[in-house]
Amino acid sequence: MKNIYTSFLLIVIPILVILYLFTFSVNSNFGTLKKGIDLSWTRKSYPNEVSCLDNVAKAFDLKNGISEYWNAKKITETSKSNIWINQVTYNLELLHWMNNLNWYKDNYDERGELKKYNFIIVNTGPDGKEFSSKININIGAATHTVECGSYKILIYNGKDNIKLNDIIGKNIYNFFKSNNVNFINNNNLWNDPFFIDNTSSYWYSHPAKNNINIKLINFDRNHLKDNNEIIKNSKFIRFSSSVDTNYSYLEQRFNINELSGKDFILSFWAKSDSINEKIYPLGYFVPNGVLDKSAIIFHPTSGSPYEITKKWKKYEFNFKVPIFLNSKNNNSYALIRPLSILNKHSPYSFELTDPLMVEIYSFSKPAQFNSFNNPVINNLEAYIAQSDKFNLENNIYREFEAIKIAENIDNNNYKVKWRLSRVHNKLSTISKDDESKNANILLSSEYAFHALGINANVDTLKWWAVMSQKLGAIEGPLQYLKGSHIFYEKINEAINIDRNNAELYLLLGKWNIDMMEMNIFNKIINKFFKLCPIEASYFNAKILFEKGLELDKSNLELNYFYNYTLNKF
Amino acid sequence: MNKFKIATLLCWIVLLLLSLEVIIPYKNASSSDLVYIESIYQDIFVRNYSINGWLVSKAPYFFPDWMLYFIIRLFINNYTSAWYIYTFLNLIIIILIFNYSLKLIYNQMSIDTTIFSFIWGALLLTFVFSTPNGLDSHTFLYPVYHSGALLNGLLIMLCWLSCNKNNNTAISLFNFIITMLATMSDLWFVLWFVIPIFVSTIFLVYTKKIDLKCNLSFNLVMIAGVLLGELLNRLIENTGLLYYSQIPIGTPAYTFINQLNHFFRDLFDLFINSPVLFTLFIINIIVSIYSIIICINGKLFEKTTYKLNKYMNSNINLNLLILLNVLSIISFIIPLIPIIYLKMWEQWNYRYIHHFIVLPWLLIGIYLYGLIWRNSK
Repeated sequence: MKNIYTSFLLIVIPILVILYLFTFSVNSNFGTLKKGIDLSWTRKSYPNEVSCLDNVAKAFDLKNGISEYWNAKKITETSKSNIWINQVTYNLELLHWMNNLNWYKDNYDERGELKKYNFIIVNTGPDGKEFSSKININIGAATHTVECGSYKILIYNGKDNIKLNDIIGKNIYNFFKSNNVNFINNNNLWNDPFFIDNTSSYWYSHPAKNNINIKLINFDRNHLKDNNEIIKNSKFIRFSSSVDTNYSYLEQRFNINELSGKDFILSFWAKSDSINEKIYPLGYFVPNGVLDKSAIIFHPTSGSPYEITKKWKKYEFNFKVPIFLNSKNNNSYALIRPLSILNKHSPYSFELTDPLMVEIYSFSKPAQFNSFNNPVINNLEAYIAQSDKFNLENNIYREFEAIKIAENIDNNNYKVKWRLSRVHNKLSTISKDDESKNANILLSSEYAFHALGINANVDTLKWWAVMSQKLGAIEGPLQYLKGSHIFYEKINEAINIDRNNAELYLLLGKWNIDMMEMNIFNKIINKFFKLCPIEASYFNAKILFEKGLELDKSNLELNYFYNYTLNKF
Repeated sequence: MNKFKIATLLCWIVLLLLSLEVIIPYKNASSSDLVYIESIYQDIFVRNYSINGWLVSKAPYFFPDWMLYFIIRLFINNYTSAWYIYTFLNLIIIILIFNYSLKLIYNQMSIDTTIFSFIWGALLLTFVFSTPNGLDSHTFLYPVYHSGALLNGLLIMLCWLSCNKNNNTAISLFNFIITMLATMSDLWFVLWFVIPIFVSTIFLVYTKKIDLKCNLSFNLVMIAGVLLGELLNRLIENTGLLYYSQIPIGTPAYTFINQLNHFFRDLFDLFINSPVLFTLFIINIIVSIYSIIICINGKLFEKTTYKLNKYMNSNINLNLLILLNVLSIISFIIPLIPIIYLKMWEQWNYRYIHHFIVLPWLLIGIYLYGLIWRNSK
């Protein structure tokens, strides 16, 4: 009896199953199989359609494209030509669904660099009709169209490409802006060290403190037709250069009455695809609301034309708005244009890549800025010197008094700010309770941040670096790792400015040790989220301490850490 | 003979692997929904993109989907192959769970049991045909398509059975960890198994078919696991490490009756296209309703027990079988409430009812085994 069952189970059922699989299964590939099962899944990871698409990508130099949900991820993951397809809705808006927002940027480590697109993929069948018609209405016809099976590839070159990127770029930008809450909480998607999480706005703004009111003038990229609205809200307008013009610029409009007679810093990030491009901002007072010959031009008080680098970089210019730029005319406004001067040897029309952020600070103490020559400059320097003296003597409270007096004389001086950061940092180390310690660290960070905002030099970079790491340490492991990354970047920037500063090498060497000796929990988080992607090592630390010792052999701390790293090998 | 049996078992495993490619079409592997796991893998291990910009589905499929797929991907340098291997392993795990439930219910384990499990598993593959439109009903094998909720649920079900057979600390710990991970991964797990186990426990304690003490502790541990899992998910979202989409809710235009019509029409279509499965489903519903009746009616219970002992394998643990039957009917009813009420049913959403397909197969398989091997003590 048992043998009958066994025979039934082992012989009859398998035969029935095999027959069943190959002949009756609704989805069976039986009809197409020539030699039984051919294990086609081991080869099908590269479908013919995608292979064709890859050939087209090579021929037309395609890199980034857009498509609707059902094609985007599929093509990106199966393509072998490194093309990247981001998903959008049929209205060409960013579709954040089962995807990563970081994919819309070229490189995660870069600051907010949005991808540029040169093709769109639509389905050839009826399911691609709606998307195709929306593309036709919004962007227009493609320069070239190629078909690969069920994919139709719409390629946009030249002026068509500018239009494609204007529309897609604007929509993606608007998405980020309108989703500011997610965006801010999103671990600094733009990797912006100046970003503060508790703002309700996407743009950076700072709370009023110590007689200084730092005000952000909001703007966005929309072209608004209503003049009154332009005056009410500052607008950011991007003009592409064309054959007729030899420059590109960004335009920041603002209510002149708010800034008249005041001092502000214009800061923005920029990069160029070309070389030898220079950038220089000009201010215009437009009394009648029409930019014509009646406009009065005012120049920055500091900063000269900077060469734009190929990587994102922050540029800063100080402005003093003359007091006479005041108007009762509702149509009047002032604007700032960071101009990019065209490289005339370039075969392409130059386009200033979106800087993404323009920060304008206005200070509510115009009296200090009415005069361009500060009469109390000597006293200020004297108090700064005094604070340095007390710092060396380690007399913290006297140092604090001296620099506070200096702050009352000029609260917009980077030398004062970074020294205030230094003294609050010291106060944090002697604080008895956590509350006052943390309050001092916060204040110190704030001063360091302001100092760097005013002038990026070795001291301000160093203090912002130190404080960003310290601030991170009290905020939690994620912030600590992000702070460590900022530390690394800023100290390196400082070293690039001054290669003969032994202290900078000491700090960077200690950073390497800190990263190596970080607790296992932080290491795992960092491994997973890459918050501080720089590789640290004892070897790097040793090299840095050696460099530091070459500059300052008597530095006890350098000697100690140099020996410490030697013991690690 | 044993060598012959082992060889036969291996043949069945190979046959299963090969049959996947016949049954499951490639187009499903390349669906944008399913490519999600490869994108996550690429972002974490290859491209080094931070995952903090991800908007994942409400069920992020951490366990076992991410874990299992990432491990496979370490060895298989090809998305489609890794995807097929995953579906294969998924099927093998389901078969092994079936095999273990046979062990629990019949108190025995032999090569025959394993061979029977694999044969029954191969048949499952053939029962679930593709539906004429849209995604097919094999989705219970696909990664990131709620298949993890099914696996975790089946594991918890085994825990529940084990706890009612021989409760120990290891089971509680396993219960807690799996429940926590499963809740973090996919809330369908809670609807398919956690709430039904809870409701079944109340019913079975009320009818005095199970022990209150061990079941109370089991349910408390399970609920603690669910709460911690949900808490961890919220923590992940609040710290901005990942973003979860909202629970998809169907077109508001659909009325409750419309939803009900859609649901039963699609269910009917599914079983018409897979007649064997439909039959298993109906048999299981009848047996499960009968189980509920005998729990209430003591005389009928005694008669049934007598008959089962006479015609089935005498090693059978009838109490556990009744537990499973009660669970299966309740787990059919509970998920219907949100599906219909939240209008989640559009068309061909079989991924919301994986357990509808697998539980009847599992239960009928257990009965069949007892009938076939009724004389082997």
